[in-house]
Amino acid sequence: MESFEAHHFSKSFGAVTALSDANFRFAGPKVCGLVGANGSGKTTFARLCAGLIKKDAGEFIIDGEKATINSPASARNYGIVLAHQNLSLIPDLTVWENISLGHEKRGKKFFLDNKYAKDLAGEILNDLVAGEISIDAKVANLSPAQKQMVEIAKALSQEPKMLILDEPTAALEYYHVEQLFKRVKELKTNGVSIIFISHRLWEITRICDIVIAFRNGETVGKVDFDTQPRDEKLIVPLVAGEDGCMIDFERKAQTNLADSETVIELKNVNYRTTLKNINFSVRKGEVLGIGGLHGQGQEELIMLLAGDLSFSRGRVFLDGQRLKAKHPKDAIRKGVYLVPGDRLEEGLLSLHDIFENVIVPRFCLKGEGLILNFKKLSAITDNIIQKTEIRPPNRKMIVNNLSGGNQQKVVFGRWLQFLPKVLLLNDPAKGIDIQAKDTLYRLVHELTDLGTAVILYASSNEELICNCDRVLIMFEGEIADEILYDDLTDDNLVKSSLRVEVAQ
Amino acid sequence: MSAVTSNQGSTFRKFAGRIVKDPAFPGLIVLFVLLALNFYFQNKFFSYRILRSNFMAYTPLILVAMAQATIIISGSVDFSIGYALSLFTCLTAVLMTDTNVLPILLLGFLSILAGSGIMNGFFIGKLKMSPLITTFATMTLFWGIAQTIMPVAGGYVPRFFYKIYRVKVLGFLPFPVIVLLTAIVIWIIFSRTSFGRYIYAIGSNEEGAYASGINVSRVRFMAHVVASIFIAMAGLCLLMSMASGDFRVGQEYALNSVAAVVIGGIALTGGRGSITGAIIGAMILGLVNNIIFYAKVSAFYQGFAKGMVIVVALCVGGVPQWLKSLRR
Repeated sequence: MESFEAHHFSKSFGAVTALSDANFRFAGPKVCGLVGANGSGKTTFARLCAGLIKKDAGEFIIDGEKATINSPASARNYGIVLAHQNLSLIPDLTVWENISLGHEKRGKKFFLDNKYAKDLAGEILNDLVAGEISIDAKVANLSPAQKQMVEIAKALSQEPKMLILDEPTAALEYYHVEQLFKRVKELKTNGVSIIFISHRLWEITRICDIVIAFRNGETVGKVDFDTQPRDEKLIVPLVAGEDGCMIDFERKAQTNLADSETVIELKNVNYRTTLKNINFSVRKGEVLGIGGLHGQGQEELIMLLAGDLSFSRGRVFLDGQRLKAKHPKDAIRKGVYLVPGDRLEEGLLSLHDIFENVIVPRFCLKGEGLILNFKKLSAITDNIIQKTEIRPPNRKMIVNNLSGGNQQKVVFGRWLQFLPKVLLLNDPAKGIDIQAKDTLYRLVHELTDLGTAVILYASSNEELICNCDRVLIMFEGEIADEILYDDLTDDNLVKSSLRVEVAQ
Repeated sequence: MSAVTSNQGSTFRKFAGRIVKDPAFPGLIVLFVLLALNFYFQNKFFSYRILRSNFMAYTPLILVAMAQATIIISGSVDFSIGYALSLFTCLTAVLMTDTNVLPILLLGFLSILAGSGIMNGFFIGKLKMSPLITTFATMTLFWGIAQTIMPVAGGYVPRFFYKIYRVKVLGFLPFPVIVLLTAIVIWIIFSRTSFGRYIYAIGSNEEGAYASGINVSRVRFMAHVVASIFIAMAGLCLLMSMASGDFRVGQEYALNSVAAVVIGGIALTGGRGSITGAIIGAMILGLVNNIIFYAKVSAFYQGFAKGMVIVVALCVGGVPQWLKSLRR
């Protein structure tokens, strides 16, 4: 592709603005890096280019002419192909069926030319990962890395003029990445443009010709390696924001933990391949933050402690006793409570009212009796509604009709009827307004004053800085770093997440 | 995995391995067990006469199961199938005279295509309505229409026409087998087109299919339309074997077709399983009836015995899934 320009793109999903003013421009067959923090709109932009979602505003100019992209088919007409991050593969079909899916070659009449499809799939896969993936295997049986390679092979089989690779390396092993880079360079010499999305800055500096950075849905900067040195330090401020280290947050006071005892302790906890040797402990009244890039095992860690996943190796101790949570009810009975990341899917009975949503965890407790004491439970619910300032303050409100912030208050508020030993928060402020967020964290700190240990995963660094006593940075399923209260700055968090040496 | 050098032994092992891993395999075992039981209770089971009468009785169910399988693989479901059959028999039996057999059959086919195929497909595929609710509504609709045009079973079906069902083609092939083979050929043709692959794709991962450039709503629409061809064929067989129309005849077919599909190893969530499985499942349901009759189970317990066999068949089908979950 000779040139590709995208001007002033914006896109919102409901109340959430994913892109506000994204601009993108490069000429000639080049490898163009696209960087940005979590939620900066990279994937939204990639999906817009591939025609998977419709823009709110903006225009594409391809090879000097205005282009209309409004469906995957129209994107393909311009030669734009996306290798998805959330894979587009069909688990129940075989590798070769997946590679040709959607652009099958027809043989005579309207039958599919399966031999051609198999040969093509075999050829492309051999170039990428010689002999490692059988084309007749079912995609459901492949490892995440293999699936990613098949996804890339599928994109390549469409002979793209511009290939968008959305975080292709997140799931790949080192030698796969090398093979991919080799292939990318070959494509470039053949005149194919590539947009390469990645969090790993060393990959960006190695493979890309130019880098464009997004922040909060806007294009904030560009680094051209033809004129500028290939240095990660040029990119970090674009991702983190020039003023990143200067924002003055209102932070919570550091909790004095000198003589409080350990509540929960993890020893060598593993979960399949996503968590490796996790060791840490949390004391009474402490807020432990979990940070790092998206998808480094943080959610698995939280779900594991909540009993939603059962860990494969390692031990968890609660108050010095072994905690074996094989089911969420085990965790709840022991006083380990979860505020899940997806409140509608995992947190609420969305067609029921506030009262029912508040009392539902009681059903798995022992000693609750057979008959519900409605008077007592109603009083408890009203008390919670008052404490969390749910609007409207009516326990008969159907949860579905509440705003996102109030829904989250219901999910969180239900644990206020007990005294949590450990409270697990999975991105509790996602998609809620500032006021609701303030209330939520105020209540969290009230709980910690009473001795609750809190484990908080948040995708925004601001929340971690404001609310945590210390933060563990996770990277590829391991705890890569620990940042103590005094070192807790945006700069340090970003650098540590991106695995850049923290400056002294 | 490295490429396996193939020789005689490993080719066989590969083939056997593929059969064992097929989701229809548990159903196949149940089918063999039932065949053996059937032979035990009814010694003449494998005689030509008995086999033929069995085919005559169970071909409609097999065809309906094929239709349901097409729909369920695409990630939808159709409960209106049964009463679409009723509608077909009532409509044709009411209008038929000695001279207009073919036009009336054509009318019946078109009404199934329009009602069961295009209407359901439009609501579910294009308007993205819930298949459960939609087909429940259209089921009631078909039932109502069938009852209106023929409140009491009967009508007229010319003798020469329904006699065709008893014809032995080339002196040995029963007519229902011909219909069945036609349906299978139609299926084989479809399975080699993009449609045959896309129904699996949209049933297995709808978003992924869309991202691959597949027109999801059109493929789901087409799944209902293609299925309606099989439904119409089932209606034809039913009409010929009963030689009359009856609005209650379809009652059992909706749930039986879903049961056949599940017994045959097709996932209710879509995307997994094969038409072969549906055929096996339908044969199992048919044989159960047969066995219970010949085992001289008291009429009081027939429902119970039939239910038990179906439950066992369903459990056997669930075993591979259960084993998989243990390994997690």
